[in-house]
Amino acid sequence: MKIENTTAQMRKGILEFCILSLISGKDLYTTEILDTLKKGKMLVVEGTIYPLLTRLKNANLLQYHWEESTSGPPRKYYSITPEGEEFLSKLKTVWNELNEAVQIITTQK
Amino acid sequence: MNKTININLASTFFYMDENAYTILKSYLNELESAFKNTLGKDEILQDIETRIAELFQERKTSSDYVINETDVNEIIDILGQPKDFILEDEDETTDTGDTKSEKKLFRDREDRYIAGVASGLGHYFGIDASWIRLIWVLFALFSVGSLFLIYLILWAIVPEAKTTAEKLKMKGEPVNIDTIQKK
Repeated sequence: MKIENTTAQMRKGILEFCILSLISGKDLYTTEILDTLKKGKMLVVEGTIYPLLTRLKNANLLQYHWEESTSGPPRKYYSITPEGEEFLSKLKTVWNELNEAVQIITTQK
Repeated sequence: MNKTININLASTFFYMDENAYTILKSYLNELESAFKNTLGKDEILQDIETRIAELFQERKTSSDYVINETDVNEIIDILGQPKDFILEDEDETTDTGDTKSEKKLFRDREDRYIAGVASGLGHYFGIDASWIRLIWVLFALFSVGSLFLIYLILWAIVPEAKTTAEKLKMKGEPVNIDTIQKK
């Protein structure tokens, strides 16, 4: 059993939660989301995020609009939808419960 | 000597040398085939191209900068190989694969003249059992003593569909809570 597989699986589930949570604060374009996630070591390769963002957008949790950029191609700015906010608050509850459960279980000897 | 190629990526122009272009082209092709079953494939690929353009732009120190092999390889390292980030989509496709259940050949005792071989074959091939019976009868008329033997063999080796799950499999329907309750 490879440790990389397990950690990748763990990260993947939490990634959607992190993305929604970031965008819920303010509208962001893809590269800003990438930078924050990479700083927090949530992302190993950037490619992971594109299918995720498209999936969240197709699920109506996110929407986007285009903005011109002076230094490169136009940017896709993402914002969260009301459904997205609702989804996020459910994820938060589950995350807190899981976090607590894992704490209790892993500290029990 | 190296040829320089002029490319347009996400509506931005770049000069690339030929080797760099070949590597980038094959990377994009790999991505395209990796995402070919993914919903929103075009959008994902377009987003990735836009990101590549952005990363090229960061490396472009002068307006006539020629993007080289090293640049492209660094960018591919940043974005990652398709196998590193396509996991979740594979999960989705295997999910849909599991719900389609394999059809199996059973004898149908609920619709039978003798042992339910014809109706079982009918379910298996998706045709009305009457046609199979008609073929049995025709063959039986114009020959063929061995046909009787074939019937006996099928009778012996094809199991009867006894449980609900077997009856569902006989008709090629998925076996799950919903379909079992319907029976």
